Amino acid sequence: MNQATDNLYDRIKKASNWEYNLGLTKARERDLSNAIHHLQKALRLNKHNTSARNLLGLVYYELGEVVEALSQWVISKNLDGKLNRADHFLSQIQAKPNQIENANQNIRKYNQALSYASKGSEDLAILQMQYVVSRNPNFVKGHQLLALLYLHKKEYDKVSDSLNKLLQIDKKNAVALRYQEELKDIMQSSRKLRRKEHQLTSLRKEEEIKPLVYRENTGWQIVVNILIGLGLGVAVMFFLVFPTINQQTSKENRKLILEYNDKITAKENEIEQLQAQMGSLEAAKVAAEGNLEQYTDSSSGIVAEYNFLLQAQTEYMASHRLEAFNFLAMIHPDRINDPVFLSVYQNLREVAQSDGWRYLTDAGKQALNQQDIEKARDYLTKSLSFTVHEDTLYSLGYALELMGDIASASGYYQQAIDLKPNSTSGKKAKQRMALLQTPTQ
Amino acid sequence: MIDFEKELEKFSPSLEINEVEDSILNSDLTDMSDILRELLNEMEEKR
Repeated sequence: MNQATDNLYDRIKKASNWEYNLGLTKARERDLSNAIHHLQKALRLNKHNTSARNLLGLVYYELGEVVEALSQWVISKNLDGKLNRADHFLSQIQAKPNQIENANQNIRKYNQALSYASKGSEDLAILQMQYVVSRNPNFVKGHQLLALLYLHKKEYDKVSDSLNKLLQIDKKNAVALRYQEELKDIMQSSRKLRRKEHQLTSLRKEEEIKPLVYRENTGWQIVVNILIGLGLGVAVMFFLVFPTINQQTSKENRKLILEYNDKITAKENEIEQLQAQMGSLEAAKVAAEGNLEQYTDSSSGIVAEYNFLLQAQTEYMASHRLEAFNFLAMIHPDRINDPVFLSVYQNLREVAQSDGWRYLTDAGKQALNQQDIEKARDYLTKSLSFTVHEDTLYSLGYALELMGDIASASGYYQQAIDLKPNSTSGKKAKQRMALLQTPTQ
Repeated sequence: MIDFEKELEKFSPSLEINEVEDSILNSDLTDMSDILRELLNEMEEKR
């Protein structure tokens, strides 16, 4: 059994060697496609056939298939590490790293060209492939693709060029031979077509009818022809060209008008918004001014209140009682929130309420005697703001009576009567009331 | 008549240099000797 097995192994090895020899012969004849075929068979029979593997790598390299070549040599080295020719090939490649980089670039461009072609961008694919085959003239697949693209674009002379280059590398490349056949058929059909056309043209020439004799126009006829031509030209310009130009211009103008309208509308909107803003700013300004006036008005503002208090306090300290209480009566305490202010005010008011009012009442009576009724009324009203006394009520009633305001005067008289009817002022008030109620004759 | 699209489909992208390792690893190195050896082993096991 072992001997039979050994015989079998031997026969397999022999078959492998036989395929290798065939592959070698084909490679020498530059029939690289068939060389690959036989060498692959050799390796399927015996993968340890180092010579076949190394030759296969070499053939791949010659066809521009660098990756395939490297793969075979690396596998060869791994399977048979002793004195292997693959070492030499690999070190040759490694010694030129640029070569590997160039080869890689070419591969990428080839793949890109394939992608362009499949997407319908044949022109781009052609440009890529022209670059690739110029840098790698042995790249058979590249020539094949380029030939196909030229065939598709009907650039038949370029097809022929690519195929010739390809067949110099790989004499019996099946794809190239097929494309060549295709090209031959196309050229033949084209020649037949041209022959037929030529025949037809010849026939037409023979059957050509001789034209009538043609005489040149002379003199005034030429002028008339020129004038007619000019007229036609003007008519064409007038009826065809100008309207088109005008239409185009109108269209452009309309477009411009629309654009400007939009701009104007946008600006108008902006103006409206700004005006609205201005309005609210104005209102805010007026309100702010109002607030400021409230504070700064010398007669009624808050500053004025502080002023009055200050003066009241100053006059009081200077023992000018009348002046002090006069100022005090001018204060509106409800306008002030300041507790210090209110405290000072309250102190002075308490004094005014207790006996300070008398200064004002006396001043009012004195003014009455002096016939200064306005002043009298002022003093007496202020006095009443501190304390309601029948004396003040009567005096104010009298001042109003003298001013002609009988109704108000009666009112004050009545108040005096109601307050202290039996006082001196009360009695005087009754007398005055009686007089006022007596009809005049 | 060559159909451009069909012909184009026959073209496959080439491997780049950095794909050498994958190419080697994916290579089927089974040869006739391996198949024969397997057959013999099976025969031995059946015995």
